[in-house]
Amino acid sequence: MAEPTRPSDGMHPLDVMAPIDAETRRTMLRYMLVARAIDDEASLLQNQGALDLWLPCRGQEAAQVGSATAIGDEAVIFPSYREHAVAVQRGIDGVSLVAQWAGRTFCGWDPHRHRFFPYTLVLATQALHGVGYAIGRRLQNMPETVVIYIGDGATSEGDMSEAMNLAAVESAAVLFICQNNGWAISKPSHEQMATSIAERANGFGLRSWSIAADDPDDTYLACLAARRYVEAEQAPALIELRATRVRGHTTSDPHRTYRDPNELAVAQTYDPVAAYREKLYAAGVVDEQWLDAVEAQAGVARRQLLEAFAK
Amino acid sequence: MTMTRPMSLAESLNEALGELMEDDPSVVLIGQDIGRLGGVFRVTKGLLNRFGAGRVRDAILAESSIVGQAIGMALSGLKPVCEIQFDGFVYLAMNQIVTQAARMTTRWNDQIALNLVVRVPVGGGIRAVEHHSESNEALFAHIPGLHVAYPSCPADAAAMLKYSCALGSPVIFFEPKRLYWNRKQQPRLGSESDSPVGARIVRRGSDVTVVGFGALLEEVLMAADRLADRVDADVIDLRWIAPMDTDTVLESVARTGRLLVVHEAVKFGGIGAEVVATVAERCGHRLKAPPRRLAPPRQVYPPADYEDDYLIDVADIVSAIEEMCG
Amino acid sequence: MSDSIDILVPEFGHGLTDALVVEWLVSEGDVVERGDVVAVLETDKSSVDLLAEKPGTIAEIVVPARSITTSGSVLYKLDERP
Repeated sequence: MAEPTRPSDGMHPLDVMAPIDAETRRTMLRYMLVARAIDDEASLLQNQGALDLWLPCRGQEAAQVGSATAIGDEAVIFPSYREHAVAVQRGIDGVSLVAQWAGRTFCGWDPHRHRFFPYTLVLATQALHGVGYAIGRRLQNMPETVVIYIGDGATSEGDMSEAMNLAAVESAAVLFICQNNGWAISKPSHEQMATSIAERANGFGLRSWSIAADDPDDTYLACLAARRYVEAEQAPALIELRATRVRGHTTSDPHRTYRDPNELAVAQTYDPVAAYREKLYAAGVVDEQWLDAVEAQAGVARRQLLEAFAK
Repeated sequence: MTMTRPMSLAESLNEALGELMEDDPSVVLIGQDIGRLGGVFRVTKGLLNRFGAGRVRDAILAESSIVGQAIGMALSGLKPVCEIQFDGFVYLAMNQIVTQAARMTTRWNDQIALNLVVRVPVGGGIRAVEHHSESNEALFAHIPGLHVAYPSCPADAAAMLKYSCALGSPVIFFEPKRLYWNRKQQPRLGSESDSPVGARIVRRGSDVTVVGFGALLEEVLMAADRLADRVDADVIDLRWIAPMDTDTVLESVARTGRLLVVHEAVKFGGIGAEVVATVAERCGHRLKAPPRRLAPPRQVYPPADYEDDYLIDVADIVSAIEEMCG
Repeated sequence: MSDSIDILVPEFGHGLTDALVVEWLVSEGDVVERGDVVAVLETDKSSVDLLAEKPGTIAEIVVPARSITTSGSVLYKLDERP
């Protein structure tokens, strides 16, 4: 039986104490398992030279799937470049997702169809696009909720400050979702800024929250509250999702050279996908049969990647 | 001032913007001081009253935001026409222009049209202070994915602006600021170009091809006029820097055998280099004399007192033509 | 008795040279101090208050109200104080 889950620390006590239904939780686990399979396979493919580059999202699956599920299918997403599990939630298959890292295209999916716009590699530029988009839709009397994903390091870029300020002044219906995985390549986030991301958003006039995003249930509830705020108030907000970057910035990043061995050892034991699978299994929300079926699905995704990219 | 007189560039653009906004509700304007003030050059005068603050938006003081949000608006279905207040401030928007606007349709595998105009007052000759007299068209010409418009007169500017607004591809739209309130214009041939992005022959001649654009075209025509009794100049208004209509230039050089390119921007790495290289490659064998560029040396634009020495004037153009044809 | 000096229409900046004299706020024979508003001009860009450059007595109003003038033309003549 699914227990009512409670929002984690830093949450504003809104009316999100209702239990998450079992089907939503199963769906979230499924996306996390498939995203993990794609991520693992892509890392292997890069290692063997079949992909030029891969940016792993291992350790951020709870943050990504929890938030993506909470914002719903109608919101239009302006991602950065590591939101692979969000892409999976939005129905993008592994081959389409990975194509740009094999040099075949700059975007392997149909952005309009999935309402998941192309990855942007110049950091924080998408923040201004998202705010402009929200303003534009409102002007055309077709208001849409806009979600902008961004990383912790990218919040230092001028465009992020400009976007938050603009969103506040325009009262744009935009939710900034900042995944703080603790690193901007080799620069730890405590060296990247003197005030927290959530505080800085506040400073510009945005409502903000900061949560540990290890568990998709907690993340889902917190992001749902954030989304409801934006939609009800028609005002911008920012939710900081604190996660762990298990691997390097990219597959070619020798992160052992700059990470403390103890910190790295602990990070490598961290697995939000395994943790959620165990949690749902123990609660009887999923069984062996269900897990086997998803494993098969993940296997298909891996095979498709091999077929498409392996030399 | 109520008596009828020729339209200035500012008035012509103002009229064109009004017509664009009247005809298409998806056209919106965004820029610093364009609403309540009507723009520092009054190009957007009266438009806030006519169309309201939703469509004539006084921007926050941040150029990256102006272009960045305009990109988002374009993605949302609008046709934004942005204004950067002065050429010297466009650099703050370069990231959004070059890495985003210019590349957006490629990144989307041509699944979108990106309607975006960035209007930029350009050039000197008005005793402006530092950074307010730049000529940076070559920087943008070099970027694939950008159209670069550089009109030389009010009527053409209006036509080019209308074309740019719904083009579906980003346009950097330069407006020669020393023409904003100028009401005198050298007579020029009124023939329509074959293509909306074509160059235009504004004076027919047979002795030398003189290529120019923007405000300096006035001086070129004055020089051609002054020399009319001894040299017959074929004068071409490029109109668009990118894409560049080199065919019109080639056709002219094939007739005259001589090429002079005149521009206000620094000669080194300037647009003239592209014109001369193309002519050399494709009809070098028709040249009777080495092709020339007449443009300022590679120096920072000087303080106002030294501006007249720095800028190319009618006498400079006359000398250059005489030397080439002598 | 001092000779009158010519006070010229100033440059307005940004390439503006034409101006309409909207109204004169002084008449011939009025004494002005430096900085007094003597006339209101209007360019394509905006309204401009013309301030007296020098103290003295307005000797002659050369460009009448409601006519157009250009930068560098004589606008009015001034008898300077000795």
